[in-house]
Amino acid sequence: MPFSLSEIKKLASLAKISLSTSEMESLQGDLKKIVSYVEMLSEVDVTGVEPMEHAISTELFMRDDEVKPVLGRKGLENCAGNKDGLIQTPKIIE
Amino acid sequence: MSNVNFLYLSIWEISQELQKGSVTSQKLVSQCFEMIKTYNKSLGAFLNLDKEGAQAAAKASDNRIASGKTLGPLDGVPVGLKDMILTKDMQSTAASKILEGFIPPYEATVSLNLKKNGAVILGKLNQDEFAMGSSNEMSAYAPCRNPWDLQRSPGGSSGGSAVAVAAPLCFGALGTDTGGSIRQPAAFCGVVGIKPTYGRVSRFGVIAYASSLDQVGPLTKDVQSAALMLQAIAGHDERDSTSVDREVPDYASTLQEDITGFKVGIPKEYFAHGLDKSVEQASQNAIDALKKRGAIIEKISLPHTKYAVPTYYIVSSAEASSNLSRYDGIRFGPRKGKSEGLEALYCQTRGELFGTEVKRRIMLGTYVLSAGYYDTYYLRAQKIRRLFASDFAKVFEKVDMILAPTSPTSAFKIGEKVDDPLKMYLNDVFTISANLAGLPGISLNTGFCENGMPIGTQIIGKPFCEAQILNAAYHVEQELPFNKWPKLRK
Repeated sequence: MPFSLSEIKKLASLAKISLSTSEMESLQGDLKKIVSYVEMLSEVDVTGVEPMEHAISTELFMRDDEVKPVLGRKGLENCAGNKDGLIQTPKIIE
Repeated sequence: MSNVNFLYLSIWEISQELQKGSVTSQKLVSQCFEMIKTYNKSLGAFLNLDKEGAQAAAKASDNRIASGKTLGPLDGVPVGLKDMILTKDMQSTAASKILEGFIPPYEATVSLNLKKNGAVILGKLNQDEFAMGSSNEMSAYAPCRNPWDLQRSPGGSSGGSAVAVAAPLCFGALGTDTGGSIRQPAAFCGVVGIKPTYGRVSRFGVIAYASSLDQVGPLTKDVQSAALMLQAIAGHDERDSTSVDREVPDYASTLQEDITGFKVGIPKEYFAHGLDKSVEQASQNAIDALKKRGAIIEKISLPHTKYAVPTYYIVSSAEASSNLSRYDGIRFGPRKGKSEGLEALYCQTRGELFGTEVKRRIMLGTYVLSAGYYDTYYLRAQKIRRLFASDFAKVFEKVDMILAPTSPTSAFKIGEKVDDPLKMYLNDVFTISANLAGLPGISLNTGFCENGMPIGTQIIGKPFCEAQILNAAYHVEQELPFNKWPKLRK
């Protein structure tokens, strides 16, 4: 499976990760090798097989719609852009 | 007993000494910190210590024990937690720079459960970054080394947890296992490690790598200690929607039950031509031990075994790429590129602060989930996952449990595989299937290589049959007592 540098750039953009040129070249080689390896899964007959998202089937349990304590402002204590209890980010609307 | 001797005792043994008053928890905690001060630089097991918290907890434990109000066998016992496990007010980083300085505002259920039982948390243990690795070489903070040979890897991703127990620097540790990350380092370091059934132990407050595969479990010196720690952390948790509401048996009470008639399956695919001779012998030691104790050995087949590694790496990378999208520098963690706009903030924070392996897996996960490739890779892998579960279900109609090597080799040298990701991924070939099928698995030491490195063998059980595999492992351990410890160097 060939991986062009433009494909790597596209994946990096989807993943929101900036990569140096040498990182991209290294990843190009790695992903090519790994994806070639996982191609062996195409040998397996999966006709009529349902996908399995969870190993153990569980029912989603529900709770009563009651207000419970939440983290609130405490959750912002690790925020590098914490300004007066709000999250400051770069401007996104001009 | 001399100071150092206490540290070599199991959890049950030290619990007896604490109850008798031959030692105090405060004394044990001091001894642990002394060992850590002397040896942690060379071993790299602990990333962070909570001396004040540990001393306070130890004091409270001593007061309880003295007034006859012990909380149980873990009361006063010093343990460590893998850094993925959030500890309120104590830095938790998953060994990543992207969480440098992160102080969790809440605590993981497993940590709270240990504290409810009186265990004393010494600190946070080293690991591969975000649990992505099999050698602990991917930690962003410090190398971690095998106490049996400092030139060798302790395994991963719960390398620090295995080292802390093996050295010993504490009496038990919690790790996480997504593709073998408790069992493999346990095998490499000569300790016991158990991965519970998926859903047996709460994942609330545990940093997620692959949510349908992750499980928390104990690493300990012996099987009984593993049973005691598992008892404390197992059980339903309303805050984890994948946590199963099912009674937790008394694991320690059934350890010594007779295993005559237990049927143990030996999968032919795990003993294929080319298996390392020492590993094969170590498995044979376990098989012989079980036979001596009355178990019946049967040959079985797990026909999809060779597809385990590729299936795992597609599923886990896909889930990881989704789980790790939250690390964007906005709500927590350091920020990079903030003056250049939002996109730059995301991309540069993640680009500069994630390590190489994490980036590799996020990119792989993004690829297999992307338009045009989803059906070919991710959907197909999920279908093959069901085939794994069916293979095990068929086999468990005939046998009660499965025995196999934990890892194809003993601990390899640091640096030997780090430049070849595929070579590294193949370390997990024997452990991965149990995660894909959600089954419990325990690894224990059953032999040594010619070079002196320990070798582990694992027993995989039916869903929620931790008691059975602990029972079998206990008997193997009784037949194969290895009273050997690594010679530590500073």
